[in-house]
Amino acid sequence: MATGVAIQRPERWDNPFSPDMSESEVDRIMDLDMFRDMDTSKFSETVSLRDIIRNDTRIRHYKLGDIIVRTGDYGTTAFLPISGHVRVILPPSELSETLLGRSELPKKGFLAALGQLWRNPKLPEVRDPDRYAAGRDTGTRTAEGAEKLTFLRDVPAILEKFNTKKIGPGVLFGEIAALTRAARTTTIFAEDDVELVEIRRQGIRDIRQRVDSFRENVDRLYRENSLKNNLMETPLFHHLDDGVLDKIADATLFETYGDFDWHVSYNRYLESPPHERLAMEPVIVHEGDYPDGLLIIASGSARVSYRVNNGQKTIRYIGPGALFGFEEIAQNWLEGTDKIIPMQHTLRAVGYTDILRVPTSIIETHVLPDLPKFMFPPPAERRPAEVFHPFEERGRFKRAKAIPKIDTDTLEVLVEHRFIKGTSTMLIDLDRCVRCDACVDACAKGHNNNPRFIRHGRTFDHYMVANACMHCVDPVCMIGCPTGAIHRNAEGGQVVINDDTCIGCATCATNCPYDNIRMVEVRDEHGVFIVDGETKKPIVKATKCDLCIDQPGGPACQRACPHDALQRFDMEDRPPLARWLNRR
Amino acid sequence: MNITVRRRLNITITVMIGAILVLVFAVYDASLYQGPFFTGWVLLAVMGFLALFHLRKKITVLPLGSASTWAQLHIYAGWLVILLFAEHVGWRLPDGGLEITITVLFVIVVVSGIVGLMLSRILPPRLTRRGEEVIFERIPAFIAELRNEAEDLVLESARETNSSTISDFYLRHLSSFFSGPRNRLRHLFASGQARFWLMNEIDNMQRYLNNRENEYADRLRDLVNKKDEMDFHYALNLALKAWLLVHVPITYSLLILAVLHLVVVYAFGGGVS
Repeated sequence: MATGVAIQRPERWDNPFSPDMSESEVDRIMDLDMFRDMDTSKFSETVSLRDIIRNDTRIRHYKLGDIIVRTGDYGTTAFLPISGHVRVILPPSELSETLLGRSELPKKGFLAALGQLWRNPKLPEVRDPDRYAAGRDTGTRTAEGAEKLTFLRDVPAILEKFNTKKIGPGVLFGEIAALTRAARTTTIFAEDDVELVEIRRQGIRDIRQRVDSFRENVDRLYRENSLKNNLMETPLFHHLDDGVLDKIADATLFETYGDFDWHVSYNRYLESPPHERLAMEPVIVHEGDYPDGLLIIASGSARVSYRVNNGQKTIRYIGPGALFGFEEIAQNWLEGTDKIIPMQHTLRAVGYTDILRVPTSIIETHVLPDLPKFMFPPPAERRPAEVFHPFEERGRFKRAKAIPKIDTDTLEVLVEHRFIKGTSTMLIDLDRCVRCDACVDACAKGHNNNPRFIRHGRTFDHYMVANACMHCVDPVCMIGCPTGAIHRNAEGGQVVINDDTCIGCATCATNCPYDNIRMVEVRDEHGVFIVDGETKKPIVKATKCDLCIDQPGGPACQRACPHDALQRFDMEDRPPLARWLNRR
Repeated sequence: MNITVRRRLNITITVMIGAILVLVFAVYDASLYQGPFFTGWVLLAVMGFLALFHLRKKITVLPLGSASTWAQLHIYAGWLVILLFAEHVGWRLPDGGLEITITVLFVIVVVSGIVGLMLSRILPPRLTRRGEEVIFERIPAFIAELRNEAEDLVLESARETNSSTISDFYLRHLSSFFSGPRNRLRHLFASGQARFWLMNEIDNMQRYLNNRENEYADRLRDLVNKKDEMDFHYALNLALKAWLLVHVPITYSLLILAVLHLVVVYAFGGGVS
């Protein structure tokens, strides 16, 4: 029998959303229209509706002007007003970046960039204290539980200037972004004193699974707002008209795998042996299964592997928009029912994966008959077991041999460490790096003498993935920022932090599984620490790589390396990465 | 582009430019113009261009082309400048104090550049394949940590085992080893002699230890290995940086003397056409 340190097995609700939730509050929520009519018998004894409400919801209070959700932010919760009203800014109108607590950084000109060489302060993390004190269109207040909230100072002006819609008690909002892990599509703020129930994703998911009317409503909203757009982005469906797309959308299933909060257990996951790590990744499709549907990755990432004795060999990873199973479906359709081939590979969720499953019959009826010939994959017998690139990517190359490949060992490391989520992952070839720190020095020069990354990080083979922000495709650091200080730049998509509105809560730094965000204590030009007027504690700010967003010429680190040792990669775009890895 | 292909292409281009320059100089010389003036100006221009690389490395905030492109140009123009210098001095040793000084500095710059290039190709793979990545500036702090750990261990062993064998050994063989980075040249030339010797000495000492003391000796051996790793990284990192301390200052001295040489030539050249 195995021995070890005995602990109580972790349970679903060890960490309730709000530890202060009282039974009377649970009763109040249960009595709301949305929950009152739910059939409680659909819930199991271990996961009852009351349990979900007790553990996955909390009551929030907002005052006039408080921003509840912000467009572009990533959130994991939905909101249900109990009393009071909120206002939705109706797209396409949108609050300015500064009103949302974000920065609008203009690119530096030639002289301003050059001036940094002598104007940069000698001391680290110098800030101008007057800048923080300057009046802004938004303010920050401390709400219940010491939580910081950002509020709009001039609500009447905003109501006058922007097209808005009022939402009153009983109308759920934010559930699609929470479920699909997509960025919020609009900004919502309190129009008066508002009391809301905030429901976290796990709760929404459980209710959706058990309550038909809730699921139908959420799915309807998803189909209306997002699904068709997702389908239209798939090259396979480009030749289809609106009517057929509607039919496909109606038949498409939305499935979710893995753990949205994967970043919380990331370090524990890495400490496990490789076979256990693999077992932690939920299987979406098994090798050998009947291909019952075309899978489209809606969000997240997935590992494609095939069995080798008792192990699994990773051959590629796929991300949003990628297809899985098309080759098998197309071949079965071409060859008829006599020679049905099963799924050739296993698909696993890496962290979390949202899937759109279009049934095979729909593909066979509506897509394949009119599909251009060049979009059909080659027959299975001419395909090697190790298909490194999906067929849509292979189409970019004339000859199969011309496709650059990433060796399996490298793939395994990139996938299991989740480096594949980066859109600007910094890789250093240690066989070429002379450790001169020219990259670090260049970074510092562009950031007031403060390097925003460390030439240190996980290594594999002769490569290092440096501790530099990877600007993830689905940045978990952006979840929960109370002021919207960490955000995606509207133009380039870089994940940046607005120093003026960062309140130093460290939510982003805690969320980042790669330790790429650093909290720093700031000081004035004389080196005196800037402190909170009341508590006298140092003011802390979150800092990270911003890809030199305000510098002419882009990331200085990459341009500064004289030995071609450092490159930043969008990990979804594998051919450049493969070429770089094989460039000897 | 594949690195090998790039290297072949660069070599081909450099050889072609070199051949063209030799031809141009020969034609210029045959035309009875004063060849050294022409070659001198070309040489100075290329040397100035080579020195600009250092400036480019300092000005990282402007989009002046990637440093790696500059480095490639620097390397191949560096090979070319040897040819230009030889052409300029007429493939013989120059006479005159200033000219000899310039030649000596030129040789130092060229040799240090070639050594630097070799080091930057040979040492990084060696660093990669041994131990963890360590940031050079942090090595002294790591060594200090290891020294404190070793000294605490030795004191504890003396206290707990009532024996001074390990502490005597430490004072005799290891206190100097732990006091700072050691064996730089040996590590640079991939010699494991120092580590082998220390391990051998620890083996010899362990003959005189009981079981309890041997546990301490094994822990001390681990610390010696870790310190040796630090020494290795220190030595190789230092070499990767140190050659620039020769190459860059001498380059600027060379440039100053080259300009002085130019002034002297024009001042006393007379009848320059």
